[in-house]
Amino acid sequence: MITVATTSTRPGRAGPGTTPQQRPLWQRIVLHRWCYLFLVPTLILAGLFTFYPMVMSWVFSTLDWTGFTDSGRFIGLDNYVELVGDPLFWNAFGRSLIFMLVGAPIRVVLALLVAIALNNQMLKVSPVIRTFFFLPVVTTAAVVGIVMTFVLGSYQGPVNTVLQQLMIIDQPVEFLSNPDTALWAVLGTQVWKNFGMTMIYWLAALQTVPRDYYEAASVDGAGRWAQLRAITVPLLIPFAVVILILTAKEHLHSFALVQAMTAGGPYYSTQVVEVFIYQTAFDPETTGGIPRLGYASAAGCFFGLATLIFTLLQLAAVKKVNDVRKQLGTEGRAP
Amino acid sequence: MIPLSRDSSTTRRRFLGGSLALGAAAAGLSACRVQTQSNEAPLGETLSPDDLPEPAARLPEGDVTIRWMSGGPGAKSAVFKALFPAYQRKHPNITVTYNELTNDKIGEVLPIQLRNGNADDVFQTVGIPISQLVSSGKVAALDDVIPDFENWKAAMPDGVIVPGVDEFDGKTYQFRVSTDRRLQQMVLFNTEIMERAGYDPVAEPFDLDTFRAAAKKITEQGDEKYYGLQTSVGNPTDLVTFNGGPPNFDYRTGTYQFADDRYVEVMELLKAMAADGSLFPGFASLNDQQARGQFPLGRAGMIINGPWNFPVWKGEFPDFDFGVAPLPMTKDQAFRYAAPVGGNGYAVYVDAPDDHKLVGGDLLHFFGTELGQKVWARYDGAADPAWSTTAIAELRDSGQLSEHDVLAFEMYDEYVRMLPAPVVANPDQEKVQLAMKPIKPNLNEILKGYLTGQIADVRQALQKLTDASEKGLDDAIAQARSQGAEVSRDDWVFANWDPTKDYTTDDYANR
Repeated sequence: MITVATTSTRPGRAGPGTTPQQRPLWQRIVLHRWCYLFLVPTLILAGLFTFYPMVMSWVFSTLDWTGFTDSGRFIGLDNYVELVGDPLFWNAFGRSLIFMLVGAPIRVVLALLVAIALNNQMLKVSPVIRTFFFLPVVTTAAVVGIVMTFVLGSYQGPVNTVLQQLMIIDQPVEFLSNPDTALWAVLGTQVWKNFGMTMIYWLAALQTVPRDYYEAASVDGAGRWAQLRAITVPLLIPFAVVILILTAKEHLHSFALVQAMTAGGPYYSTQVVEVFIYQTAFDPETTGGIPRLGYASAAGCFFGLATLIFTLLQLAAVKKVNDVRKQLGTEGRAP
Repeated sequence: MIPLSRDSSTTRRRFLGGSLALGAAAAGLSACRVQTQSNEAPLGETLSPDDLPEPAARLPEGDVTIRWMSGGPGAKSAVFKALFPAYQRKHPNITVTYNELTNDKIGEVLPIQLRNGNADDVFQTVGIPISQLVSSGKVAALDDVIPDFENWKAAMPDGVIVPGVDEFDGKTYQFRVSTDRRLQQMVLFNTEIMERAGYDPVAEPFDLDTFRAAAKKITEQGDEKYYGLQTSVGNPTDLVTFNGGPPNFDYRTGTYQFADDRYVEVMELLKAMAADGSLFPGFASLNDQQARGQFPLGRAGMIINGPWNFPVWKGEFPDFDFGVAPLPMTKDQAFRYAAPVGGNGYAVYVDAPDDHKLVGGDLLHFFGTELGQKVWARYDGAADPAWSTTAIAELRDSGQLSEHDVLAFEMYDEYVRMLPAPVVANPDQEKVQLAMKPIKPNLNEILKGYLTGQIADVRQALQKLTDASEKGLDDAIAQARSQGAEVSRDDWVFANWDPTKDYTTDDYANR
């Protein structure tokens, strides 16, 4: 984010007898015109591709609209009323929450452990291993999904073949066809695919821990686990909050992978909200041949609002924890 | 069209055609056809410019490139890939850019193209509410596009252009070049595997028990290399009606029939086959395209699918030897009910340049002639049967059809019956169709849920579907009426419907 300086760097421009803060707004804008000018492309793109669609999705959610006409029929909140009573939507909502509440912590913790291991300066192959972990991140999700349908396939899929040859299983496991395993198989793929990104976040966070602390702890006889517990983890907690929020948000956006691997099946067992929205809006089989853009928009807006509320609650909880920690830190300090 | 549950089997528009009465009408009207181009020589593997008639209207003289979008890949592709090069050689200043998308993708892409103002000049209207395109002014009236329209239209058999389906406010906006008088589901089998199992479903069609037994035996012989039945768990309706059961909607009573015992019986059979291990592993996560793509690789002995696979498999897997047989059936009670307002329809984009419309109109005009229907029949075969019974009869007599297409047409004669269509009786029914909301879970999904164990009581699930469909229809009728449509539940009742016969124009008159 660009920070626009609020103090003038050109004293000669100051009006007679005025401080920078006292200048009229238009003068300040003219003074920093190049900053604003360079912001314009970003604002245009953000307006076109973020804010306009956001606003219009709210408008569309009040319409009965197939998308084949220029505009739909205004029906007020009927789409939301239908949505509240739609068990399929709530099932999809629940699965999205599972993706977030189960997948995000697993990924954050595992990535931290791997990052700590790779942060060791003595490990010469660390850059290579980091690359291997990060490769899935830069691979297209849809491609990963399609490949994983073969990898996890119950007919001569490599995973089943290996498990059978190791005699861990007698019969192939139908990872993606069995409703009991399909969701976890997709979730596992999601965790694996984006694991590298979380690992990079942690590596960056680990770089901020001064090496002096570890050296001092070593001199005092602290082992690796003691250092991890007493130095690394406490200093990483502020980063953990941000990384957890980013990871959780990412787990809510799993459309490409789910659609490629299972398309929400079998029998809705992997249908997350994004897949529900897509299928409602575009999938002729689901919609019976006629898309329902208005209803899909309502689902999207509702879900967006729910995740916003969740994020705000999460931030409030984190702030509360930090306040308590600061308080405890103050009370514990020697006078 | 089975009204009006949003079950996936009812999404395609079908149209009335191909009955004996229509065949007689077509023969009687043949003297009135506009195009008198005769071509006694059979059409070859490739179409020659000399096979094509002179244009019905004055085509543009400057260079023109039109875009034509249709569903594919499939049998239809063969028609356009034969026709357009020949047309371009006949008219060197005209280029036809053929764009092919799967049917579901057309429904996704077309609304965006229309809103962006860059739709193809001529596009297929699969799964698209044509009345909405008409009311929003997105499609051109073919009356203004197709040359000598009135004579051309007058030469059509009844049921090709239907008010409420193709015609709105007295003008025609969609032209359907084919009919749905076909089987959408057959047993397509791997000849070698079937022979090894000792079955011949062509000579002795399966019944439900022998079908299950054959699948089991094939699976045992396959030893995990191949299985009895490749499936993505499609719509079981045809399997029901091939065993004396009703279609989804019984027009005699005007009620949904999902809860009929035969639906339960068929679903229990498939569940038993799954328990036998006869279904290809991972069937619940396969889609239809994947299942069809894997079958020629020798992974299963049978697949229940349609005739559109013939040219694709022959083209991509020329060494794959497959056979065609009817669905497992109860003798003398086997029918496939086709809604009459189906087939492949095409419309012209209203904002296409005038010279593009001239070319598009000429091509659509061609498909509405006997020669055009012959070309369609010759290169499409049995997958999307032409509505001209003359063209079909000539093709079947010509010896040019593949053995699969020959068998398929014979099965169509024996098993296909045309349903009544409320929209034919009352064009306002189109508004009810638009008002219908899809019922979830639909029949396919219930079957899949039952096979995966997520639905324990299939009878209860089917009853829920029936009840929801009935309510959905009533609600849609109420909504259509509130928008000025003159419709009622009585429009869906055809007491004179005989399920063993086609419902013809005379039957509509004597309702």
